[in-house]
Amino acid sequence: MQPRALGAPRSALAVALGATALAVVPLLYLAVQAGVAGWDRVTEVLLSSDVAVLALRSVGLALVVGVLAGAVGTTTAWLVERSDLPAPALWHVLVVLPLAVPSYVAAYAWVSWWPAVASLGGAVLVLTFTTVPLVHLYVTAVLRTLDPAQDEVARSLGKGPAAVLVQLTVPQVRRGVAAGVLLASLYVLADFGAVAIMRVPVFTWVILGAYRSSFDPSRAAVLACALVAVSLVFVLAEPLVRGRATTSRVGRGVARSASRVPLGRGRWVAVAGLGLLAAASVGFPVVTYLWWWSRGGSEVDAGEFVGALVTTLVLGATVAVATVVVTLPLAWLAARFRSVFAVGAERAVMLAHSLPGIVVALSFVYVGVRALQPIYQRWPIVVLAEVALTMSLALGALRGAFEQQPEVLTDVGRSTGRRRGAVFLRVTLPAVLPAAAASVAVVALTTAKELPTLLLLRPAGTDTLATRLWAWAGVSDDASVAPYALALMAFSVAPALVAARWGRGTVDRREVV
Amino acid sequence: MTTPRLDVRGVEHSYGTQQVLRGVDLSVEPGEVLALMGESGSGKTTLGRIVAGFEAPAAGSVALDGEVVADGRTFVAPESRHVGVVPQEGALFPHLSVAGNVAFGLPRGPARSARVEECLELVGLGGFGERRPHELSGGQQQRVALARALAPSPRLVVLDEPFSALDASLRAEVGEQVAAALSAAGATALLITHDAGEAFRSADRVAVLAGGRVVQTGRPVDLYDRPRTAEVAAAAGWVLKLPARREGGALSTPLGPVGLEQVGYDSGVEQGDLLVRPGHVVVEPADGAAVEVVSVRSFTEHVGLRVRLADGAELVVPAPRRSTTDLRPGDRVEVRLAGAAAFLAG
Repeated sequence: MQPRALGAPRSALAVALGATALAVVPLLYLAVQAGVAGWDRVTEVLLSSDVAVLALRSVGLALVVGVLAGAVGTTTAWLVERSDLPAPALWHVLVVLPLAVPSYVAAYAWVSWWPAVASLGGAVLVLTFTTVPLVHLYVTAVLRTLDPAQDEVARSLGKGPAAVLVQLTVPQVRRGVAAGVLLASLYVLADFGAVAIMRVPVFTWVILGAYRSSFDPSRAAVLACALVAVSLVFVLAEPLVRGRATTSRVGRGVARSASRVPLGRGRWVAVAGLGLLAAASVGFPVVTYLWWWSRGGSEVDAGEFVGALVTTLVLGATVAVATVVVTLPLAWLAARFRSVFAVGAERAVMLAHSLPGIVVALSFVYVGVRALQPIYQRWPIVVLAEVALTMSLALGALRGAFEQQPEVLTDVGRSTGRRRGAVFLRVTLPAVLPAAAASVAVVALTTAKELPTLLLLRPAGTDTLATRLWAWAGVSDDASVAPYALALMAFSVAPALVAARWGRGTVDRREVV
Repeated sequence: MTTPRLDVRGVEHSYGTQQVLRGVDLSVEPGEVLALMGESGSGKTTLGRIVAGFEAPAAGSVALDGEVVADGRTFVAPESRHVGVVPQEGALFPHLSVAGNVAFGLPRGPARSARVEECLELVGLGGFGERRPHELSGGQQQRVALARALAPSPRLVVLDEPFSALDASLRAEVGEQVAAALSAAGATALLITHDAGEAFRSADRVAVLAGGRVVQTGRPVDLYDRPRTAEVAAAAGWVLKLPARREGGALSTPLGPVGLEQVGYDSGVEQGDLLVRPGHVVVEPADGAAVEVVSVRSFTEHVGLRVRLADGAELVVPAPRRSTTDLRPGDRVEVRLAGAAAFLAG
């Protein structure tokens, strides 16, 4: 038994317990809500033929987009990392930049020109554009871990560039690509904005409809549970597919940059293809909204816009600070004390995070109705729900920062006679401040784009940029959608660039919507 | 005269504005292990990469068995050179088993698995074929990397600092195993290293790269007995540097005269540094002699004798162990030089 003085402090455990509860309790409520209706009702909802069609459509859309994004993203990653494409750094940024275009912003840009695009095909198109950067970043990260010396050894053993690609590179990135496809599929399952604008009845959109249209909350809850189950299949499959680290190096020598494969004339085909991709996924929405904006006729007055902007900023800042404060102790415990509780709590937070936003939002509706009536449909519950959604974003970054700090520093600090709390504040915490600041920024920007939680939980009569955009999009007022779309894209450029620069394949899908 | 297996002539190479190779000449005979020794940053790895075909020389030529593989006009791709490489970190293919790694460069066919096992036996890893690279120790990984390079019977194997990623305690042992495997395979090898011990242990000849050129090539014993530069002398072992002046057929030093015929390499300067090995120093106890022992430090192969000369100057003299075991501080001794390794400009 470890002495109390060397174990995790109780105060940190308490906060971490609270954070875990925030992640887990709503899901329990969701299950209860579904169960309350009785087993018969659950089976009745699940076994109706339209649910089977719904599930098929949802999973089908997710897989089709995942495979398309996998093919495109893998190609772009290889071109940028391993071919003699001109200006690869620039193309890397351009391929990643669609992260700055929320899926509903991209979707509405297409529909605003051609309403007929609103279809399953349109959803495939837009969601593929949105998820290509995810796969690209993931595969790029895998390619970068490959030791270029391996390629050289293979060449010295008589293999030409094509044989190196087929026999060395492909087998080693295969699992990475598959994991990237699953991540993209998971993103599509969770997406709410694009499918709603494309009017494709998949789980997320149908759940919102079920919640809104009927006074039978159990149907929405049952469907949400079904979506959780489907998502979990993808969540659990991802590490299985990724497998154990397939790339490894002996020792840590200096990695040379890999030699690049000459494309010959294919170079210009590659440039044209990448240019087209960037134009369609980033250029098109930006130009579209600038065009609608420049045409005038917007019914958005300054008061409405500024009001939404201020609400967005205040909400974003509140959520961000709350998230980081709540997550810090958990991140510290997870990094320092690999206790059963710390590991379990970390997993719970990460799991809650891999759930679609609409599910988390819905679960907080039930918590609000049943247990938190005083704050239901008021700002505190919005903040709680957003914190639950964004905790995992901060958790990863903060945990990494804690892990990088040598443990001996805190040991030395304590041996000088300072109390633990003082050592934490003066030695441990300063080292993670940069990561904390970065997390605050990412969480704030994520909250600014978040849609389902606000649609379900926000106090009547208040709006953020995203909900105003949603309202104007609902009445197809292109000119009025434009300022909000432009503002949201401007907000998201910074995190997209950060992802392009530092993304190690861990880019989070919630950073995008 | 036979055609050298590897013939490097006047090779130059730059990274940006920094020229790392300034006209390197080097040749390796068939069946020979040649160590290319140099400080880090001396360009030795670059030369290895040029030989293997991973980089093209800015000037000069590289020939294998008389066939030019790189010069201003020709460039033979690495996969067509039949030059195996063992990189610093082994770079085993992590997705393949040990046998898969070794078989990578072999043509498909019935002889393949026999050759794989043969090569694994050669590096002392027979029966390891089913293991995965991450299950092996660092030394084992390096030996698999060597087996992989040797499997297609290349014309030449380039080993780039193959032991530097290993623990010091393992380095000598793995070095022996690798040298044994190379000689058992009858392979021709270019061993790139910064470590003199490694070079001397494993190689038939050693080439020293400094300032972008090969400053000396020779058998290890040549480098020890007749170094051409102070760097080579120091790399080859402990050396005492004494000021010396040419006087007739001898050199005068603070430790007395040395006959020129006793000096391994005479650069011809009038005045400079005389480089002395422990074996060149003769120490004899002599009451009343002018030289006084200040302290005796015992090293593994010889002792470091701190002495005070007649003029009061102090000096640490390397000396053979046997003649100094009974010396104590304050003893009087006679110190003479029976020879020297080199006389160079100071």
